[in-house]
Amino acid sequence: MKDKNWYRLDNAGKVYPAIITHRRTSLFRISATLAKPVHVGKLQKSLEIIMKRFPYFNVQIKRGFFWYYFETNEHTPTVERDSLYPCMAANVKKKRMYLFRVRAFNKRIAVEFSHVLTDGTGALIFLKTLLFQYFREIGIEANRESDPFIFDPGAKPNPGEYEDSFKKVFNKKIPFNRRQQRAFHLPENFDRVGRYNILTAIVPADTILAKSREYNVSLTDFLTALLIESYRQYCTDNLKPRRWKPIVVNVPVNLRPIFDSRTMKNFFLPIEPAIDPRLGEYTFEEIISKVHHYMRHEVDSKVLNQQITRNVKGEMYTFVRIMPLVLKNMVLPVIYNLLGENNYSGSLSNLGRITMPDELKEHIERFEFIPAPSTGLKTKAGFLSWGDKVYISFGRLTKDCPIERIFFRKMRKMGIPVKIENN
Amino acid sequence: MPYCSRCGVEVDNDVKKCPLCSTPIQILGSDNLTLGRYPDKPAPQPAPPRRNKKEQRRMAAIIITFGLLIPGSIAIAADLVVNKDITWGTYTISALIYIWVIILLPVLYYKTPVFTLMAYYLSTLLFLYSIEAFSGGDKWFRQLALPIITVTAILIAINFFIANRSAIKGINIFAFAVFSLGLECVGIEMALSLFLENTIRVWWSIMVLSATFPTGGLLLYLHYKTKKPLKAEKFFHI
Repeated sequence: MKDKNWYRLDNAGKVYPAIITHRRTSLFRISATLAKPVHVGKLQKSLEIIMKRFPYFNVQIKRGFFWYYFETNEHTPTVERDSLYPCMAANVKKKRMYLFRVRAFNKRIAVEFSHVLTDGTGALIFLKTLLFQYFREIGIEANRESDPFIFDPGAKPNPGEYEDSFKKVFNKKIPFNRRQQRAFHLPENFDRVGRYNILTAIVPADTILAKSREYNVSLTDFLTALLIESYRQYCTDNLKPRRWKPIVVNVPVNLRPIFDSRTMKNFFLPIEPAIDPRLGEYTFEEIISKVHHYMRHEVDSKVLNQQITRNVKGEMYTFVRIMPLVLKNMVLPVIYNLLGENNYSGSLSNLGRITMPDELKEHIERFEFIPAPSTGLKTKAGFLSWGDKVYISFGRLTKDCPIERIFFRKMRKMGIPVKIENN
Repeated sequence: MPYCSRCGVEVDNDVKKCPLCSTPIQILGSDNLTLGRYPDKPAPQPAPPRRNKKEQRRMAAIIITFGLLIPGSIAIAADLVVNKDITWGTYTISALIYIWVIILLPVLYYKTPVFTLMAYYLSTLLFLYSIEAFSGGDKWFRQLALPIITVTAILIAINFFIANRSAIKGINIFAFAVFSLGLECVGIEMALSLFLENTIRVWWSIMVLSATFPTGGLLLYLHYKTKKPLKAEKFFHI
């Protein structure tokens, strides 16, 4: 594995290079705001040090005849300046370009990863290792052993981090499960190309957790239900009933704990809690219980494996494999829309509770997650919690933000204090 | 902290309108304004990094190879069309191959100058021999080209060796080059006289030697007198 200087894309990453456009850049971002302004020189040094630990990120994307592949990049990634519009203006498919970037602005260190390379968990491990090394450079030592998701910058990569876990866990024998329904899509106009509008809400964790405990559900269930409820409200307020469609929210699930994998490539699957507003009026309590039970049913290694099998089988067909890349690039966007974005109305990613060693906690003000822009859904959401706050971020390609408005107003009506920031 | 009166959400101190519903928000006093959360301007599309030295060399090798293939194939085609056979085309081809070796070796094997020098020597001999072989020459290669090229190669190798060993590289390198020039003339005259008159004779090259030795001596003197290094790369920078 060591002398190999090229890698295959993983099963989920294979579709992304074909669908990248100026709007849909496939970049998502995790950022950490520190207590003091960032020293860019030291950040650059830390980045160079930890790159040796992440050889699978030290790559550029190349066109093969049948598939794209990663090739070792002989350059050094540099810390870039931040932009008004995060996750935009990237040409990750160019030669010698990295598929991620590290950006610094005032007190904030942000990493933007392309979904071709890895998912949120991989990016979070990278950011945490970078922060650990950065604090070491500026003279703040911390005990790394307390957190398994901070890698030792001096160690050798584990071979398990290179693997495509989808291929490992998929089981040829299980039958397909086809559940496709065209979901409702927000009928809003796009903002200009290159603009990505971010709304970040800061919510006290104890209040919102107490609220979700009132309904006896987890925070993810609560927020997913609230997002579905916001879409439902939007439909009833703005559209005639004949234009209503099922409201499906895409909730990516990290598969690493479920299948005991330590891969640093993509390893997640979406599950899709939904309601159909045409069937009648749902109350918030009904939605929340539907979401809660749906999640319990879906987050099960056997049911998830069925979906993995569908995806991996699709990639393994001889007909698909021998199709030249030029043709694949024409077909894949259609497939992606048919099997992917057409079936979701919105998306809510959960990065969970961020942990750092105790010595560093006081030096980090907050973490934020910004989802990758999507032309089909137009607005996507993600949240994480750090300290005593929950940070909910919406990224949208539209000018107006009706869903966000309904979402946060509903939250305020429940008595949850919300602070909003935007770019 | 200010709030939006319609949404009820809290916003930053410096926000003029609600991020959710665009309702204007009054700014009271300009003190303790928060630092901007994002830069004021979008960042431009980043350019990919430039090719590094290794990639540049690889690219140069490809361009040179295909650049030389074009005249080569034109020459062969012209020869075939006009003469219905390959006649003078062989000269062009061997010359192009020679040029290719001469240009490409330092590009690809810049780290091993000894190997490059040896390869230069051998390829020059091979090129001249091929010219003789194609033209059916009368032994000028063995009597003239071989000794002259060998003497030149030995002198260049000695110069390289001295330049490598000397602690301060400066005018002394020019001095040794001047000495070698004189010795080269001796070698050329010996080879010429053997070829033309069948005897080994040294006559006019003595004059050259008598001029080069004092010149080289002067340069050496200047070098050890001043001991200031003259950086060749600085002087000959392009």
